[in-house]
This record gives sequence, structure tokens and C-alpha cells, in this order.
Amino acid sequence: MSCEQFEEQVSAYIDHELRDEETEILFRHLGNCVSCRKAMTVALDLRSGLRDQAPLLAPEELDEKVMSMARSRQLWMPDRVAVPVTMWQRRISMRVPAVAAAMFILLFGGFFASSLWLGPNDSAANAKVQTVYITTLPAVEVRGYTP
Amino acid sequence: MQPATDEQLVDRIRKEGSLAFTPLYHRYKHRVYAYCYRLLRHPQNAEDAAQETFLKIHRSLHQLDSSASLQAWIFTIARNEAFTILRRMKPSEDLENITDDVWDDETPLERVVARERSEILQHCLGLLRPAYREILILREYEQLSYTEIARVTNLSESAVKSALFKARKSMGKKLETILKGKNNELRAI
Repeated sequence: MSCEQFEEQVSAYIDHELRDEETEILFRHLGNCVSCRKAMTVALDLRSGLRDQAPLLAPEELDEKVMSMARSRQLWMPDRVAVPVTMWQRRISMRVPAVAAAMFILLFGGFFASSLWLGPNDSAANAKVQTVYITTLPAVEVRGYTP
Repeated sequence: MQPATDEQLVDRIRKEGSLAFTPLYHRYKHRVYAYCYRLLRHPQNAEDAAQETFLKIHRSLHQLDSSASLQAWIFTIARNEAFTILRRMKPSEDLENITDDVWDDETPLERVVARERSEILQHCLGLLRPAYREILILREYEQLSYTEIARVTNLSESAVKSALFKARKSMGKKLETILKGKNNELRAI
């Protein structure tokens, strides 16, 4: 491996992107090579120089601009996860007033319907033909007993 | 209260959708702005790029792959926005527009030393090829891993490794030249 390639390894080493065996080979070379050791020093100096700089802060106006934009836009809500369920596992939820109204309609509707179907029928057509069955029981004589 | 981690933010986005945008914005606003600023070297353009970035993020939250790196996703969007503005910028706008008000307050002496060092470094960074400058910013300032940089820049990890090495080498040479020049200037006084 040439010094140029080792310098590339130095760069990867300071980024913690070198495997253990590669690090071992690199350090064996660094022990014998002044120019690669210098490359390591330069790379580390550069890093500390860049990272030690005061942080750049976003201007406060950005907050207002971004937040007003976010408020004016449509919200996205993730879809609910669809879980397949069998019929008898399903639960139907209804609000209490809706249930009460439905029961009221069923109850009184049922009364009304039953009075239509089962109540007295006075229509003339049905009144014409009427069959009356009279059952006469035979007289039964009980001997020895006079009421 | 501890600020939310990236993993917690991704979890919130998955559960709450756009409602999780505010914590995400506050976690990343300075980093996104600083990244755009260092790429564009222009405060107003950096602010515009950061605003566009967050607008895109808000609009694309549903596209976020929860298994991928959140910061790589955010910096990919920021990079696209910064490059869109960079393409529109006139060459004269690409200046060292470093103003005092964007840096944190320091003591006067620290400020002079830091400003000089910072100005030299920023100047060198500005002299780098855009591809090298960008990759160095992502690694040194944003501290993205090679995998994340590869995702943001659409390069392979080995290309990232090689580009970082070349960027450092180039920057080292430029620094050396500038410092030699400064020393010569001082000797001439």
C-alpha cells in the first residue's frame, strides 16, 4: 500500500470508519512514516478547527415563517393499521342517543304494526263470509246427583 | 425535559403524522440553517433554503421511511433546496457574507481569535470544489456517518471515503498556503 493510500486510511480512521485489522496495519505504517503521521496531525487539526467554531444559529424569523406555513397546510394523519377480523369479533360502537332512538322506533313501530295486522278487521269484504262454529256438548247425566 | 431523539421523532411521525412536525423543526432548524448557510455563504439565501426545506419536510412526512436515518433524509432535502438556490444565484452573491449577528456571543478576545480562525477556515472551505466542500460540511459540522453521507449525496460509501480524503488534503494545502502568506505579510511589517 502506498503512502497516498495510507493517508486515505488516516482520513477514514479519524472518522471511525476503519475496521480493527485495517487500523492495526495503519498504525504499523505510521510508526515508520513521518509524512503519514503529519497527514494525521493535519487532519485532526482541521477537524478541531472546524468543529470548535461557534455554532451558527437560525434567525428567529425562520420560526414564524415555518410555523405559519405549517399551520396553513393540511395535516397528514397516518392511516390506521387494518387488522383482519372475523365477523363475530367485530364490535359496533354507537352513541347512546342513537341507540335509544333506534330502540324507541323499533318498540313503537312494532306496536303499531302489530295493531294493523292483528286488530279487528271491519272491512265489508271480510264481513260477508263468516263461519260460526257452535259446538254443543251432549248432555251428561250424572246418576244419583241432582244439582 | 429531554429533547426527543431521532428514533422517538420517527415514532411520533408514524403515530401522529404532521402533529410531530414542531418538535422535528425545533430539533433541526439550526443544523439545517447552518448547513444551507455554509453551502450558500449567504444569510438570506440560507434562510430561504431552510424555509423551503421545512416546507418540503412538512409536505413529505408521509414518505419518510421509518427504517432509514431521519437526519440523512432531512439533509437530502436541504441539499436539494440549497442546490436549487445555488443554481439561481449570481456569482457576486456567493460571497463571504459572514455577519456578526449569526455567531454566538463570546468575550472580545475570544471573538477576535475565533473570528480570525473562523474566517480563514471559512475562506478555505469556500475555495474548495463544491463537491468537496459539501462532503466536508456533512462530515465535520453535521457529523453524518459515511452511510448517511452516501445517502444524501447519492454516492457509494467508498466514493465518500475517497472524496473526504481529497477534500481534507485540498483544504490542508490551502490552509498552509494562506498561513504562509500571512506569515510573509507579518514579516514584511
